[in-house]
Amino acid sequence: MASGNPQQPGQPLDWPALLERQRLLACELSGQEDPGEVQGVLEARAAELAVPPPEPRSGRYLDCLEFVLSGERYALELRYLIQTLPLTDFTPLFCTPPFVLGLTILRGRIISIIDLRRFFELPLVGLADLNRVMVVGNGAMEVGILADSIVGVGSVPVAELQPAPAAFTGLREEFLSGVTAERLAVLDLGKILADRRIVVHEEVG
Amino acid sequence: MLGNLKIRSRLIAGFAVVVLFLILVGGISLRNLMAQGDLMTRFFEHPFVVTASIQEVQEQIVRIHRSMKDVVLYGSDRSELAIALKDIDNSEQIVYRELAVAKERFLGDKAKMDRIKVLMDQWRPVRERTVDLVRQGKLEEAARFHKEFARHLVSNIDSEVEGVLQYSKNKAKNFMEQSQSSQRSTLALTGILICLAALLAAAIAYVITRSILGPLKEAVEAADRLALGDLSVEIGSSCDNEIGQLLRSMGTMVASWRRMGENANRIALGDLNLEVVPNSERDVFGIAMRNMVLSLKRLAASADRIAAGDLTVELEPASDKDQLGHSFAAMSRNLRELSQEIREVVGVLAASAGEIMTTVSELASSSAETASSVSETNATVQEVRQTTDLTSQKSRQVYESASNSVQVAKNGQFSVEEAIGGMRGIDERMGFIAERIVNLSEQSQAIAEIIATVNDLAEQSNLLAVNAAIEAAKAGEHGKGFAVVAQEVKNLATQSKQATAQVRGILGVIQKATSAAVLATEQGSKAVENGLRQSGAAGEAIRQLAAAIEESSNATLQIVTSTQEQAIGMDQIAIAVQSINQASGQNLEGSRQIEAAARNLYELNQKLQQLVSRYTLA
Repeated sequence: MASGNPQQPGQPLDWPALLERQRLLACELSGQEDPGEVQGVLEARAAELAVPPPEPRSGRYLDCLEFVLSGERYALELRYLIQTLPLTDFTPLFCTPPFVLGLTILRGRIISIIDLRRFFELPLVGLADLNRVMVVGNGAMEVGILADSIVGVGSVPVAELQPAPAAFTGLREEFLSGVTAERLAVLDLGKILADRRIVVHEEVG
Repeated sequence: MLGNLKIRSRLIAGFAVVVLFLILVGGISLRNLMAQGDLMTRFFEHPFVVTASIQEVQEQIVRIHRSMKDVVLYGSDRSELAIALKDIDNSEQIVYRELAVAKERFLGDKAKMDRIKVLMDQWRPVRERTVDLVRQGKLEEAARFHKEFARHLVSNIDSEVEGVLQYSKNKAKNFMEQSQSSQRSTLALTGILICLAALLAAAIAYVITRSILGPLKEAVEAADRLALGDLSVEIGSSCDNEIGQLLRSMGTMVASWRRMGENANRIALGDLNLEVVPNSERDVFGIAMRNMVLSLKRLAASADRIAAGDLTVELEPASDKDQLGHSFAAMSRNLRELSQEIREVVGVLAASAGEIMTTVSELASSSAETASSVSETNATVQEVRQTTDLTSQKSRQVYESASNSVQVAKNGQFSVEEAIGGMRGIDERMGFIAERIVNLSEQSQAIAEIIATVNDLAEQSNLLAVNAAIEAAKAGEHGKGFAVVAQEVKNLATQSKQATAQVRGILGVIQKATSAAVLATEQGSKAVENGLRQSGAAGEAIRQLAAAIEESSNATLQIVTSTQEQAIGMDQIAIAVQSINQASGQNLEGSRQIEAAARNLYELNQKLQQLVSRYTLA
């Protein structure tokens, strides 16, 4: 690479070395890998795979999906989760509260998308990706929740859950199951879905 | 015969003879003219008048005859008859009158005239008878009567008249021939006489002229010889006339001139001991000769004194135009001045001769010095010759090195042109590199797009993995293995994402590097342009250098030739100096001779002084 060995002006160019480097690069790009390097990569992978399996879990665990919203980590239980999908297209809906972003279609079903930040009345700070939608439901209704990004699936021991700290106020405190030691806020999605405030019923004259 | 006659008498006699002859000729001519006139008168009185009268008679007879015919034809008419009778009467009267005239003049037989008259008388009663018959009305009888008598009568009358007329015409012809013969004889006679007169006049003129011109020609020849100065001519004449007198005077004159010529000859030979006596008081030549002798004697005396060395003599010229006197006076004056000047010049010459002697001595010593100097110059010229050889050698070397320099400069120019070509190649390659780098940049852009796609795929894989995990969790215990797989998939997706981030970073670095490379190639291209310009300048400089070297090479060549010429010139100088050396030796010899000559000059001057002192000037 040019940045790897910058040519000092005034010095004669070491053409043979340059050509050798170019030849090596060409070899690499055409798939003829250096045997030593290949060996190194294989060994690294073997070392990675050689990690001993985690100890069997004891007690009660909540299977959760961890996601990030406004720079904070949240989690929700997998039993309410139907599917995650990227927010590709949505239709804004008029005469709805601000937390309803709009409607989208999932396999022929119309799903409303809710912005939890507005629902929890959090301050809208910084730019957000908001390009992930987690479709949740409790059998009665289905709703899409916006997330900045989705971290992954994990398990949270129920015993480790602590009550919400003082910083969580209002609706957030109300719909929170608990907070882990890693400051992962686990949302009580059953309560949210059962809440009347999420149901929009407005008529405009 | 004529010799002793005076010229005037001769001329008078000759002219008198010619005039007498002319009078004779005139008389004869006049007589002939009178004879001619008589002949003409007779001619008029006789044949001419008779012919005219007879012709009139004939005409009138014809008229009478015609009138009678009228009477016979128109006799019934009284008025016609009267007119015709009147005409007949008139004609008859005219006939009788004319017959009378003709009879008087007729030269031939006068009986013919009487016969005509008788016939006319016979015709008259016939006519009267006819008229009476007509008056009586017997016209036919009258016509018959007229036919019987009148016709016969009239033809008789006609034949008679015709005979008279013929005779008169013959007579006129005779007269004409007579007149012509007389005229011819007169012309011949007159011509002969005129010719004779002319011959006589010519003979007289010749004789007189000859008698005058003979002695005159002699005198003219003598005068011509005298005019040419020939005094040996003898002139004399025994004749008594004017020319004889002229010739005798000329003889006297010649004798006088001869005497004078002898005197002049003696004077010309320088004999002044002669006494010239003039012939008379008015003898201009004699007096002039005497004066001339006196003047010459005076001059001779003066010349004698001058010859004796006495230059004090003063001569008065005889007149303003006395050329010899003036010349003599001027000569004596000039001789005085000349002697004076010669005396002064001789003094000066004496001093100059002394100076020349000293100068010549100095000249001899300086010639010796010149000889030694010339020897030194000769040595110097040899040295300069060697120096010139050295210069020639060196300039040849310089010329060779300049030629080499020209070759080197040409090589340099060629190299610069090659360098310019190479630079152009570099410029092209620089452009090629820049283009390639930009291509690479574009390809890394494609890679970035691919990477974006891969990132998207990784995102989707991640999401799929999450969904798979969700499904696995829903499956409970049965989904455990699937959850592990989903976790692996998720890990791979995460790694892919990280890898794409790395690739993007690397692409950014590549982009910066390519930009730097493009900039560097651009700078390289500019540097090559600069190099081209500088190479061009260097090429121009080398070209000028080559031209300058070539010029200096040419100059050196000229120097070489010049030094060669110089060497030749030095050789010539050496030869010339050699010649000068010899010449200075000769000079030395010559100056010694000059010294001897100067001594001789001095001695000559001494003699000259003695000679000049013999002339007295005052």
